[in-house]
Amino acid sequence: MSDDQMLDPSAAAALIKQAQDHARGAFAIKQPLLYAAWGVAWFIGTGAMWLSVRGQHPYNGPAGWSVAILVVLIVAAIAATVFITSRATWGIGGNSARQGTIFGLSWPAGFIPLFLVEGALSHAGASAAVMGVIGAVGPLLVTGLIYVTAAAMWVDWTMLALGIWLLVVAAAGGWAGPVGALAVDALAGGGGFLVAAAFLTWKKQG
Amino acid sequence: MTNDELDPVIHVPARLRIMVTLATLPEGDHLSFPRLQQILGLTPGNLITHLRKLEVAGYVCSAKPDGQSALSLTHAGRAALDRYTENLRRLLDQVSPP
Repeated sequence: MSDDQMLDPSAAAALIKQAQDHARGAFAIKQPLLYAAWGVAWFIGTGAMWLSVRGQHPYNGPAGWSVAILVVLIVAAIAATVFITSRATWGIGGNSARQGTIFGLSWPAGFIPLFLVEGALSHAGASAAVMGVIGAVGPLLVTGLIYVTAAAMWVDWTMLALGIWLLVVAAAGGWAGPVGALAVDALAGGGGFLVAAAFLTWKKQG
Repeated sequence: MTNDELDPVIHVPARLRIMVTLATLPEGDHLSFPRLQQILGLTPGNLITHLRKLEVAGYVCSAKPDGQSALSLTHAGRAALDRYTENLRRLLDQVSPP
């Protein structure tokens, strides 16, 4: 059909539906992919750290190789997040773009102070066990709180549930000690992201 | 044009797709010209021609906040699209058997 010719009503109705679906698909951030990327990074990364510390008596901290795996996977998850988000949102300006920028800033705003607090605790003489606990549950606390707040902005119930779940996992994981907290991180933290990804995929298909 | 007629400014495939695409964004958002072109798959010249007609009708607003065209539907544009879809539905209801 030419772009200049007049339409019959049923063709116009079909075109509206098609254009709406196409635009919504183009503008939608693929949230299941984001959750899956972070779920895999968290599951494998903290799982590797747990493998390197299990059986330690006393607790000395994770091996360098396991920390390197987590760092590489987190960098990959950040790259995936930037790619997926910018692919959906490029060219969009105004209120949504400002909301997205503030949401993006909330991550360094949460994590930089967390790392500084961890540094301060270490400087004040905190034991390896205390550092292990805060290192394992701190990121879940920050992430959970950001998700709960962001869910209010976008009225996103899956994000809210995931945020609350991560806060619960962080609060409970700390009581498992530095070794157990890493296992909880991998299974319940990484697993939580993967369940959220699977749920959204199922919901979209259903 | 009476209130029951399909607005001839909108009732053309390219312009209908432009209007629907811009209406998908929430009020307060705007879309760059290259992104709109990518979504619609129109040539720049064709897109400019149709956008100009929509701007003349007061349905689309084009600003250049950072040197790039930022396109959005005006209040009149959203209202016109609502009226258009309502009239379309009424027409289709008349045609289809109860």
